[in-house]
Amino acid sequence: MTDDRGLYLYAVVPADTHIDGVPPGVGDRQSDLIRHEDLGLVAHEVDLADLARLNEPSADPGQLAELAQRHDRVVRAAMEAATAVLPFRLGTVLADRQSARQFLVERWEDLRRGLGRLTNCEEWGVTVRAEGSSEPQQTRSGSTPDRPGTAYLTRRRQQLDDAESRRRTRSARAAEIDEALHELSVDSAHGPKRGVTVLLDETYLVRRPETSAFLDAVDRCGARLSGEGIELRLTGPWPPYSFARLEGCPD
Amino acid sequence: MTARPPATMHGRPPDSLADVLERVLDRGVVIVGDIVISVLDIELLTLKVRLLIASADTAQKMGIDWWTRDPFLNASAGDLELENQELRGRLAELERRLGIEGPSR
Repeated sequence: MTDDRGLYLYAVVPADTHIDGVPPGVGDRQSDLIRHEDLGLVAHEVDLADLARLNEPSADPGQLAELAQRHDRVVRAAMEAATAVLPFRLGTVLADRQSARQFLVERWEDLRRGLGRLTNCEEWGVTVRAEGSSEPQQTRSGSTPDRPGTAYLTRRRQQLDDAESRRRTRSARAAEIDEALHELSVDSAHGPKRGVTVLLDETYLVRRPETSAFLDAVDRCGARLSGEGIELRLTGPWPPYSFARLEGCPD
Repeated sequence: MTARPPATMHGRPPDSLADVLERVLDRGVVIVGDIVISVLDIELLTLKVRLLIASADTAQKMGIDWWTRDPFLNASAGDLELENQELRGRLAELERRLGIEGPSR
């Protein structure tokens, strides 16, 4: 292999996984399995220049989007074909097949443990948002008060109290959802919370046999929220990206 | 699986590009050491993408349209203004960290 080629890694799967159905990945290349003992690396050769282009300031963001989508498609297909999948970080490239084999041999125990933890698992993302404004509603009292200043202050305090109690209710509701879903999952991870109205941004690792119980719980939570100005959003199933870790490796 | 009530189904377009980016960008096993070739500056690219997602205009060109369904972004004008201010602040910070110029006004 020459210097301008590398080996793009997607994931670790059990060595007996059939990955013939995995779609072409980065650079439209077909993956195969590099095996050692009971583990296999889903990987293919890649032109380094194709990837390096993405670093340039003028790079079309669409190219990165395509890379991310192709990466996800391959990892997802590997997940569907395998009993377990341990995904690598987007853009992981080794020198060649020989270094990939060396990596498998050296980290075999860690990789087995990391993969074993994710056997039969998928992840689901749940975000809960408060809809609309948490600011107090304008409430009008019918009578014209003798002391408009005091009346205004009383009304204003009432509005703020209402807003605060609404905020507390919503936080409590989000905590209830988290607790209910946590019970049905193997593990959970916090997502990057965005904005003040996001009440919950959580990812749950769920065993496949538990999927329908988990989804039923999500539905029940969602149904209970209707009319409360809170929206629940579910994404997934995803490969267990958020739970892919090796001991001794930084996250 | 049984029929899903509206609350959940509502928010379930098949994974949008924004969802995929958010999920794959900074997750997954990281390999360190000599055997790894650093082709991609993932940290930088991640910043870039966050910037991109924050920019509705570019996102639209990429086919990301989640904000049209997003109640937060479709909330009242007061909320939008707050959101706008917050995003402007974050954009400025990202541009500073990336060492690029924002659009001149």
